[in-house]
Amino acid sequence: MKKILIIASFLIFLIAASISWHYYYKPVESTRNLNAESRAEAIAIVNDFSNDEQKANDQYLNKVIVVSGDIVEIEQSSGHATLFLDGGDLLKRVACEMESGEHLDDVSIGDRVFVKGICTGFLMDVVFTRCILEKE
Amino acid sequence: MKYSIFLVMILALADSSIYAQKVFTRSGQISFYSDAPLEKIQAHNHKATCVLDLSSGKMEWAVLIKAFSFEKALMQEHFNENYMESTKYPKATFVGNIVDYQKIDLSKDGFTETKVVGDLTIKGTTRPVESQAVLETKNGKLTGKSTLVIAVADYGIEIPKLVRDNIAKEVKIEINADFEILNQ
Repeated sequence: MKKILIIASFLIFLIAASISWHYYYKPVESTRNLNAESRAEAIAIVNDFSNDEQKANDQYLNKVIVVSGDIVEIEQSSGHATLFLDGGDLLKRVACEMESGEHLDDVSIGDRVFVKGICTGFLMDVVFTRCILEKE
Repeated sequence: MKYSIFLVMILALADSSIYAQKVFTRSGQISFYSDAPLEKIQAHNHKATCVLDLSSGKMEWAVLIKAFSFEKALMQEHFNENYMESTKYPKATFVGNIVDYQKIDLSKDGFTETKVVGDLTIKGTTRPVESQAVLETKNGKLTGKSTLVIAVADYGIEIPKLVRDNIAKEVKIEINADFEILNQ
């Protein structure tokens, strides 16, 4: 009886340890696996942040959002690609920092795209990170 | 005689237009490193913004806390929710000056080593900081690098006893910027 208990508790310990280890070392999940909480036009998002940043933060910050807009710039630097979407204002755009490995070969300036990403706030542009391209 | 005065005036105007420039970046890179006995942590942000006025040396940085990326999901979560409370304090900012801004000359290739002095605000707490920076001018473009060490406790960031050997008391911050000229 004792032997079974010892083996059982050891197995439970192993399972608990491997679950914790897995959870601890879990990499940041791809946005591909996350459900979008809302959808918005880039121009509308920039408008919202420009008019009332606090209110826009409450509405968008840390949420998974599908943002749609026209590409005005594509930036490739140090392994990170960023798509800039027209925010309706020369100085303010929606910057979408793409997930590493996301292919931007099929898109070019002027294209209307749908980008799923996480809103991190507003500096000169509204910044989204962990972005992927969606079909719609 | 008249011609040379005219030439000097043109050159003076040309010179001042270079120095009256503001440069900026929207893709500044800020990384921080915590080196503790049990764990090494690093996070990177590629969306920092900075505006630098070359005529006065005044420099302002802003960075979104939620845009720092970590390798481990749990770390990113703890960083945002527990340590930085980034929903309450979404940005960290720096307002200060490049001390030797007058040595920066966009028309010549070269390096300028300078002190940077200013106020750093993290999690709603502002502290004066000082660092060394190296600015390089090459082909009319300006890039800058700087390193700063801060004590996390100075900014109200509390490290629980349980993870004291996992998170360093002092964190090294590395800043890199490729500036563009602001066309006004």
